[in-house]
Amino acid sequence: MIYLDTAATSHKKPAQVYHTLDVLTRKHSANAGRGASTLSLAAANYIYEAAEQAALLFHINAPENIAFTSNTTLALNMAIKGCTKKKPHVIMTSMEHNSVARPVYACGAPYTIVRADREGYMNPADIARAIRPDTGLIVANHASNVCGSLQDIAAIGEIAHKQGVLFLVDSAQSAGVVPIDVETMHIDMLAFAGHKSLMGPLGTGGLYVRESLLLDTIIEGGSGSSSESREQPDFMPDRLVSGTANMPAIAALGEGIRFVRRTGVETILEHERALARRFVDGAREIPGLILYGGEPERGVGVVSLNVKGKSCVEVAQELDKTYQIAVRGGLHCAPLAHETLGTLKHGGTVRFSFGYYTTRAEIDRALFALNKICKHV
Amino acid sequence: MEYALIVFGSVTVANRAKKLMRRYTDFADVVQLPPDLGIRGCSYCLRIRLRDFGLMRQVADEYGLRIKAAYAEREFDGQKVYEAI
Repeated sequence: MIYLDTAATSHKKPAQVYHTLDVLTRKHSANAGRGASTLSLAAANYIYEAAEQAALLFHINAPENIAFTSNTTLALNMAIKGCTKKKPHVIMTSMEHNSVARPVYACGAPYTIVRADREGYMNPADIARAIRPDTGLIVANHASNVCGSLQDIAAIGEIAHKQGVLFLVDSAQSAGVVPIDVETMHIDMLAFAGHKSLMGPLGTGGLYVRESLLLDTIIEGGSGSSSESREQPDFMPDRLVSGTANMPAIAALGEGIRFVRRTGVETILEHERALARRFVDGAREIPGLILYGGEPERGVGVVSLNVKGKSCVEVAQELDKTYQIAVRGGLHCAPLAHETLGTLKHGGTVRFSFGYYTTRAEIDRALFALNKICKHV
Repeated sequence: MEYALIVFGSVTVANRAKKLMRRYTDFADVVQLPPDLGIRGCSYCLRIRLRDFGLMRQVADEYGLRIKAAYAEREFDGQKVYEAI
């Protein structure tokens, strides 16, 4: 099986991730922050160490400002619904995933969708023009899960900061691939996926919240602190973390981040871009293929295409069944992005997404398969 | 040996405080706060040598750690007694 669906989740993980998940589940299973047995305190320490790794990666001063979640979607829901009461207007881009768009729609806040260009790139000046007196939040997708387009979040952050508007970044497709510095990029909240390019297990993600920003909560429960109070704690991470934490998975995520830091985010980005370049150059030689998005050097390792005369779902199925190549066909939970790229009317695209463990041979095999599919149309 | 219990809101902050203190001293452990100290529910504290209390305050100031309370732990007649610092 050739796995080219890293945008959904990374298939292969570093050895230490598997080992940590196994050992901590087998021998160290205990509830972090509940009691003070040796095992419970050790469990809390494993989670803290994972937070430290994330803090180092994203240049976060205080690891306790990171709340681990089960995925980016939960993190985004917490962020969006947690800060739109005072100044309700939300600005989002036309490249957003449903995990941003749906919570914005659901919370009833007035919103503006700022349009990206046909290749999926935002002009930060357009976002600045959309700011109103009641704008409380700007949300931007750092890298598109459909076509890999990478936004200039430093420029957007600068605009948000100058205007006193909170800035939330969806880094699901960029964390671990593109350098992120919450301080220099003026990021107030960062939602990240643990199980994609951060190499952690499925069911992990997190939300960084800038110091002194107190979000309204959408989940309340036991936090292992301030138990006598009827309200959620007013400090991080406990305010946003209720219930039993998935300690082995979070600890394993910590090991994934350690691997990414040791390998180097820039090295990983270079690798993905080189793979995407190889793929795009080869795809352009195949008659009947339509490619979307910008040049690989401007994005992350995600490429979308369609085969003339075949639906994207059909192509994805054929790649899987005949050639054992895993990709994703459809709208990728991002209808806004497809509308921007002009692919909504086709039912979406076939998405190929690469990662650290993807090889050139796998790219070549995918091109071979596409060539065959196109010849039989 | 006399100890101090430094009370933080969460086990996460207590762990951070422990790591920071361990840069300067070989004794700092996260423990659960004794329930008879008036803070009910699960509360975590850092147990350090009483003589390191000044250092703890410096570290807390420098790194923005919120200390909720601090107690000196002494032994009297075989029992542990706590006195607010």
